[in-house]
Amino acid sequence: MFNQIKIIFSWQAKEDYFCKQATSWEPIYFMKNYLLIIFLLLSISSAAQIKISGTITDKRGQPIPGANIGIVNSYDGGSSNSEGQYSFSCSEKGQQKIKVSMIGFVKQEFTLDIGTSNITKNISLKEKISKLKAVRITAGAFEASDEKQGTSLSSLDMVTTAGSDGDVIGALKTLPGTQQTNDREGLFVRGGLGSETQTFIDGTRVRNAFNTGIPDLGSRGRFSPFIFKGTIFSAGGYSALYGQALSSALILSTIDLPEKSSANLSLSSVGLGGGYQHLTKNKQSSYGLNYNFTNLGPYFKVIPQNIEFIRAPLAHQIDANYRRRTSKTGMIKFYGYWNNTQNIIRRDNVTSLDYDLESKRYKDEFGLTNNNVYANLSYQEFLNTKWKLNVGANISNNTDDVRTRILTQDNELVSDINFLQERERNILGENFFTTAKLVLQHYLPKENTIRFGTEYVYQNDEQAVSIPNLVNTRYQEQDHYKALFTEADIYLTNSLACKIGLRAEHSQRLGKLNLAPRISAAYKVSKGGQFSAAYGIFYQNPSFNALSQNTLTNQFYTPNIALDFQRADHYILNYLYQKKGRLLRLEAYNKEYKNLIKTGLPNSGPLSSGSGYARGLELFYRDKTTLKGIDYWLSYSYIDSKRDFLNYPTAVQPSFVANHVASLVFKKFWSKKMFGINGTYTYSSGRPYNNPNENEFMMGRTIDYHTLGLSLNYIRTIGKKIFSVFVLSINNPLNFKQVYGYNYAQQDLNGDGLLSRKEITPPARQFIFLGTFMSWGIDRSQEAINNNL
Amino acid sequence: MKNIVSTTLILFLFSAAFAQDKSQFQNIMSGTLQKMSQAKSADAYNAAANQFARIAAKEKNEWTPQYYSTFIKTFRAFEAKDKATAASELAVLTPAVENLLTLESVSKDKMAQSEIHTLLAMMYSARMMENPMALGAKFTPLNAEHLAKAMTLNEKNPRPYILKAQTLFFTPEAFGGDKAKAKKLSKRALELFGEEDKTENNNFLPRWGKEQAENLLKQMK
Repeated sequence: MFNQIKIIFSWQAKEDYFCKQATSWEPIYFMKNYLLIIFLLLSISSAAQIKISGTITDKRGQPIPGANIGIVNSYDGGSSNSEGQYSFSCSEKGQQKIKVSMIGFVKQEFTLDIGTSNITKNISLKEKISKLKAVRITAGAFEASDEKQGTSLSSLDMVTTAGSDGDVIGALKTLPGTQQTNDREGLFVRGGLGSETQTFIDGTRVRNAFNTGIPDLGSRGRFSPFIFKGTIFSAGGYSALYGQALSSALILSTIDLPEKSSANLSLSSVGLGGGYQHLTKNKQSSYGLNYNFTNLGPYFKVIPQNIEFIRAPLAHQIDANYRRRTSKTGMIKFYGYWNNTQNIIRRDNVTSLDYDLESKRYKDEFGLTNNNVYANLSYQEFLNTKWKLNVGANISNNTDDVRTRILTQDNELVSDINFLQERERNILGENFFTTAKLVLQHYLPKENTIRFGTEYVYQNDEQAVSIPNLVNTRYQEQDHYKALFTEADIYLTNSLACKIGLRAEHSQRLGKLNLAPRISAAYKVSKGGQFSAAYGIFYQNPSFNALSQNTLTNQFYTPNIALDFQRADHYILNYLYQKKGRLLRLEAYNKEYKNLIKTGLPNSGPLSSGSGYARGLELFYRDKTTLKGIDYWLSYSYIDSKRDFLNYPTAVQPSFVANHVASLVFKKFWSKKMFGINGTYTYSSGRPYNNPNENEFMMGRTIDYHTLGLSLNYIRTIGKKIFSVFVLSINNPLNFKQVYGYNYAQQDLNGDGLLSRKEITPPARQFIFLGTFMSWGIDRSQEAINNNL
Repeated sequence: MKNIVSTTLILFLFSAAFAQDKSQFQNIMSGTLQKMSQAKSADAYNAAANQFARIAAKEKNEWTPQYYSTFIKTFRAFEAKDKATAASELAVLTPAVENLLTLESVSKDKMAQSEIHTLLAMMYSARMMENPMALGAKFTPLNAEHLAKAMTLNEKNPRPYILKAQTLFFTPEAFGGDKAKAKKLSKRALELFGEEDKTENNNFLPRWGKEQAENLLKQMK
């Protein structure tokens, strides 16, 4: 603008000159006006506009549409089109700062000298490393989370899976790597025992994540899936933050503050419960209390079982929670749990099956009273934008009061000389466990992170075995366990990320120290596909049960301390492809086991001389889009595994590993009618069992296993205030015969040279569940579809 | 004579130069608003949104440029094919919009605050589209909170009414939907739009939503 005025002024000078020269005033006046008008017009319209244009691409040369390019502190600028081309007019002159920005890319600023000719400037933007875009290491892990992208399952999926009966473990058994060991306690993963899978809640290890199982009847997870907002099921290769699990880690995070206060009530064929959750007015803290009563007695009266339930599982449970925001970024959470469960069953004594007369046969009675108390405290805080602190602690005490008896058909203690030693036994077990863990996380530029921390565990296990008038034995074990760990997440680009960790552990009971490296990496090969790999060493103390011996002495027994950590080396390779609601996951693994416990050795106590391997291939396919309104997934696992441990005479495929396991899960929900149907079909090839009548060990194979779970759910608001869900579920409606293995007689009483046996089957062919859940306050619509309990 | 003419011209040019700075903002805003209303393709919408963003970068005391830039990205997010990227973009923009509430000009202007809360509510609604089942529990209350604030700050603002009506109409009854209430709210919104049409708009205040209200009422019949 001022440049134009300068020209006018200089023209004024020229005008005087013309005036002096001209003989006539009018023509000069006219020419002056004409030129002034031209200048005026030029000054009003955009004078001397320079065009700046070019293309904006990423580092690979792909066009970036919608990028914003402009002169800093000016309105002048433009936008790149779908081909990445931009073009804008600039009225400024001289050195101008240009800024280019686009979400997901690093901003660029540069200077251009704007003169009199148009400028072409091509720009190449660098992708910003963002957690949302970056490749995620998936080797070994299935993450179920509501908030994170790219997870294969959501926490709703965990609970809505038919056949799970509201148990997270039931849902996990439809994923690859797991076994259908429904007759046993725990989750058996990739050739490992249930005890090789550890559960962590808010970072700390849980001692009794499962209800104590009655032999051959399996058990459920203790905690309701509704207290968790995220689940990571790692079948191997997991982070250095977790230890003492040879096979698998189940990493659970509890929910934060609820959205509103609410009350809930549940009524079902197995019990009832209710609770209240209160959110304070300032929305900074919440507390809640829940009570649950379970009694399968009435259900067993209606649906006959093939074992006698003298006292059907009867349980009282109270849990309480308190959560509070300590600052804008910090939170402290407390969860307390108490459960008392009683269960007394009677079933055929296998050894007495040799007796011809049915009235002469005996029954095994197994009675269990379990009392469990668990409390968990966790604290999370951002010390500043670069440092985050997580502290967790838990304490638990669990007692199992077991009485086993052998009874006649008249329910009296046997007096048969062949059964005297076994006829009555009391086992009182108590385990006390407490742990604390601290993790410091430091955020580095470009989403890189480094963390380090420490963990401490004190545990004391005791067991008292008494046989009236015969034996009294006590076992006790104590351990102080310490660990130090460090781990770094490194993002080299949005397509290449790796995680490196190191964990050191010391067990006072073993008197040993170990060092375990963990490394994993992921590489994105295409828009939807990526490869991931993991390697790690995993150590676990030998379990108390493996060490306790059935010695009928009156001595106070302490285990041999010349033992070592059990060890498993994992090697995993994984390929993941996701596109438009469909996901394909392939994983191959090899596990090498060392230092497993061997027992029953001549002239020796237990030794750490066992070994084994497990290798396999797994497939997981999930499709949420092809079939309208239907969400389904398919998983298949192949495993080849052998181990030589405990009293095995040689290395064999253990009884808890079936070579092929496959599951098909489907869900359909009609949102107009608020009605849903979920189904799960699972197949497992036969499991090995040992037939003592045969020479070769563990060569028997059960029949193949099939099961189908179906559940129907219906959501309804009663009177606009009460939100309710009705659920009906049936397990095994097609009446498949399911055999998990065989129990053999201890002695050959009828002298026919064969030991009799009995099939290990579920207590009934079908399990039917009917229930309703109601809540006031919040509409638990998100959790509603999931209550397949 | 010639001096008077030249002086007048110079004065005219001077005043034009200064006046242009203020009317430059007016010109560019009305120009870009027109581009926004005429836009049909992704490129055209991006151009308008980016232009508003550039204006916002220069005019740090004005709230309307940032408002419109984000408004375009928000309603485009509802139709986006890649819902995850659109949602993450809105997540990045949310603090910038919340920041507008701290501007001096806005902290005294309840009408402006009402519009900004309405936009925030709409952003949470759009972000939920990425995965309604999983994210509903987190974003529905936030959406409701901001709409309530918007209505309290300016009872005459029809936009929170129509957004609330849309939510209530399209959510199934069991999840908190209420078609009767939705109808009442749409009718009220339409009334308020009528009143709004009669007022002047010198400051580029948002005026969108009448069409949405009319369409929704049509669907209810």
